[in-house]
Amino acid sequence: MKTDRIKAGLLITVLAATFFIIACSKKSGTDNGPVATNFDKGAMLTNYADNLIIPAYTDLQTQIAALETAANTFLATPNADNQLTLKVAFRSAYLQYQHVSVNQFGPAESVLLNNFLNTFPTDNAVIDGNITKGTYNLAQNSSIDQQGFPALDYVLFSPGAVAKFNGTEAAKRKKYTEDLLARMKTLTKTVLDNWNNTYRAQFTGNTRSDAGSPIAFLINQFAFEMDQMKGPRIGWPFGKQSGGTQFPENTEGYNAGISVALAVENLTNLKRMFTGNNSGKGTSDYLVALNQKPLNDDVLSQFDKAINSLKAIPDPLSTALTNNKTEIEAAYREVQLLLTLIKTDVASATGVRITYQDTDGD
Amino acid sequence: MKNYLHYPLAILAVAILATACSKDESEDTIPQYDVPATYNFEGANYLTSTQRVKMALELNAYLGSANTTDITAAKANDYFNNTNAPFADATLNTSGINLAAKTANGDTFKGYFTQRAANSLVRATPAAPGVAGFYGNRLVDGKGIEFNQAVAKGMMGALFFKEAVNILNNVANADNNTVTNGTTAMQRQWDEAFGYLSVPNDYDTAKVYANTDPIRPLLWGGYLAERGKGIQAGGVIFNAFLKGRAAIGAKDYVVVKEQAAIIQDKWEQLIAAAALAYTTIPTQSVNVGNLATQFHALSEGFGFISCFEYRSARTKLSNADFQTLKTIIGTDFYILINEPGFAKLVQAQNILKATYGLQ
Repeated sequence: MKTDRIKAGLLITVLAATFFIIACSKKSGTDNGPVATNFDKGAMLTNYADNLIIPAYTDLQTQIAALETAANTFLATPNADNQLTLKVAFRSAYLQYQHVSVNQFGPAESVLLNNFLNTFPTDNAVIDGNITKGTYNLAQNSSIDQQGFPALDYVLFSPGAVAKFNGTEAAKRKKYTEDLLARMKTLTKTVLDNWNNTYRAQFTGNTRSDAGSPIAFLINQFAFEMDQMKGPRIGWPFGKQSGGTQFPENTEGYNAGISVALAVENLTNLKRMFTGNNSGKGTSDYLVALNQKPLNDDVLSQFDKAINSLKAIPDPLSTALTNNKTEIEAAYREVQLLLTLIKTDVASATGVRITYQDTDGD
Repeated sequence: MKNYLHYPLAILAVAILATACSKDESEDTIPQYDVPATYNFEGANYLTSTQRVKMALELNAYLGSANTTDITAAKANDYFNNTNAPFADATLNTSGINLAAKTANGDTFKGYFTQRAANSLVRATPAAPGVAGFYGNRLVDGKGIEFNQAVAKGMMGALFFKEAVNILNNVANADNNTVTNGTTAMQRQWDEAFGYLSVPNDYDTAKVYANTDPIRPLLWGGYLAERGKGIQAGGVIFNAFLKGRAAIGAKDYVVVKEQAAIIQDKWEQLIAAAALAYTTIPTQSVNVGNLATQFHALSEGFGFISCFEYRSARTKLSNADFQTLKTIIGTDFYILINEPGFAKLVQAQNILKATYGLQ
C-alpha cells in the first residue's frame, strides 16, 4: 500500500514531465510537418527550384523576347500575315506562362506577377481610353486588367485589330503594345533575378510546413490553380456562378481562341509540378513517403482524367460553351474532384493549412 | 514519513505543470496555491463587462444593417448611451450602464455613426473614388472605409482594451482585505478586466466554437483565435488571468503584477497581429482587384491600429511609429491599394513586424 502511494506519486511526476515534454514540443512538430521516413525534403525543394521553377521563368523570358520580336515585325508592317505569325508566338509565350502561374509566391507574389500578367477579362473600355489618351500608369495596381497577356490578346487579336493598327491611332496603339511588352519583360526579369540571386536559397533551405513555408506555398498554389480552373478558366464563363448565364468573352485568351489549350497546358504543368517531373523528388513522392500511396495514386489518376476531359473540349472555348456542354460539364466534374483531392486530402496528409482564402467572419 | 512521500512529488508535478512553459519566473517566489483550469473562482462576477460586450455587439449589428436598410445616427446613439431602450436583450436596457461612459473619444465614434448613417442612404450606389456606395457586400465612404468596422474594432480599443489595461495598471494597489459579497475590491477589478476579454470561463484554445454557441468567445475573445493563434494569445492571456486571480487569493502580489503585465503585453501584441493581418490581406495577389475584400480588411486595420492609443506604458511601440501607422491607415484607401509595391502598407507591416516580433 505504501509502495503503491509512492508509485502513484512517481507516476504523477512522470505524467507531468511527459505532459510538459508533449505540451512544449507539439508546436515544432506541427511546423515541421508530418514525419516522412527516408525522404529528403530539402532535395525535393532543390529539385523544384532548379529543375522546374527557375527553368520555367527562364523559358518564359525567352518566349516573351521571341514574342516581342514577332510583335515588332507586326508593328512595323501590320498585316494579316504578320498577325498570324505573331499569334503563333503569342500562343507559345502564353502557354509557357501557364508553367509559372502556379509559382505565385515569394518573388512572384512581391511583384504581383499573376495579377499583372494574366488578369482576365480585361477592361477593354479603359484600354481603348489609355490608347486614345496616351497617358496611363501600368505600375498602378488598379491597372492589372489593362495589361499582360489578356491585354495583348485584346489589342492584337480582337476583330478589326489589323485595321486599327493602320488607322488614325496607329502610333498610339503601337506605343501601348510596346509598353505592354516592356512591362511583361521587366516583371518577368525581376522575378527571375530574385529567384537566382536570393530567393532560391530561402526556398530550398526551409523544409517546414507552416504558413509561409515553401511546402505550404506549393500545396496552397496547387489548390489555388485548381480553384482557378474550376472558376475563372472554365466554370464561370460556362455559367456555373451565374445560374447558367454564360460569359464567352470572359475566357482566357478569348480573341486568340486558345482557352482550352491554355487550360490543358496549365493542368498538364500542374501534374508535372505535383510529381516533381517524375524525378522521385516531388510532392507525389513526399506523399508516398508519408504512407499515402493510395491517395497519391488517386491524385495521379484524377489528374489524367481531368486533363483528358479538358482535351475533349474543342477550342475556341467561347463557342464550345454552347456546342459542347456535355464535354464541359464532364471536364468541370473531373476538375472539381481533383480540386477536392488536392485542397482537402493532400493538404491534410502533408499537414499544410490552406490559407489563401481568408475566413474572415465579419 | 513514507506515507506522505507522494504529496511533495504531486506538488512538484503541479509546479512543473504550472511553470513548465514559462521561462521567466523563478520558482521560489511562487507560493504553493492552485491555479485552476477554469475561471470558476468563488464569487467571481464580471456581469457589467459582459453586458457592455453584449451592448457593443448589438450596436455593431445595427451599424452593420446599413448594408440593407436605412439607419440613423440617433438610433446608434441610443445604443451607445443606452437611451430609449434600444437593446433586443431587455436586461441590457435596465442594466443601469452604457457604452458611452467607458469609451474614450466618444465624439469620434459619434462621428462614425453619422457617416455610417449617411452611407446607408446610398447603399444602392456603386462605390467609386470619392463616391460612397457599395462594393459587393461592403458599404464604404468615398475613401473606401466601412465605418461599422471603424466602430467595432475601434471600440474594442477605446473601451474594452483601454479599460482592461487601466484596471491591470492599478489592480495590485486595490483593497484585498475587505470582503464584500464574497470578494475583495482587487478581485472584483481583476474579474472586470477578465470580462472584457469575453471568453467562456472554461475557455479552450483547442476548441472551435460554432458561431451559434451561446457561450462562444466574443469580440477580443474571438480574435484570440482569429488573429492570435500564431502568437498563442488565447492560452497566454487566459492562463495569466487564471494565475493572477489565484495569486490575488494568496496575496502573492509579485505574481499579480507579473500576470497583469503578461496580459497587457500579449493583448497589445494581439492588436499588432490583427493590424498586421489587415494591412497584409489587401496586398496579397489573391485579393488584388477585389476592392470589397481589400477595403474591408483596411477598415478593420483602421480600427485595430486605433487600439494602440490605449497601450500600456511598457509598450514597445514608439509614439513616432504609432503616428506613422495612424497616418498610413488614415490615407485614402484607394491610394493605399493602388500604390506600386504597396509602399505605405508595407511600411506599416514592417513597423508591426519589427516592433512586435511578428512574421
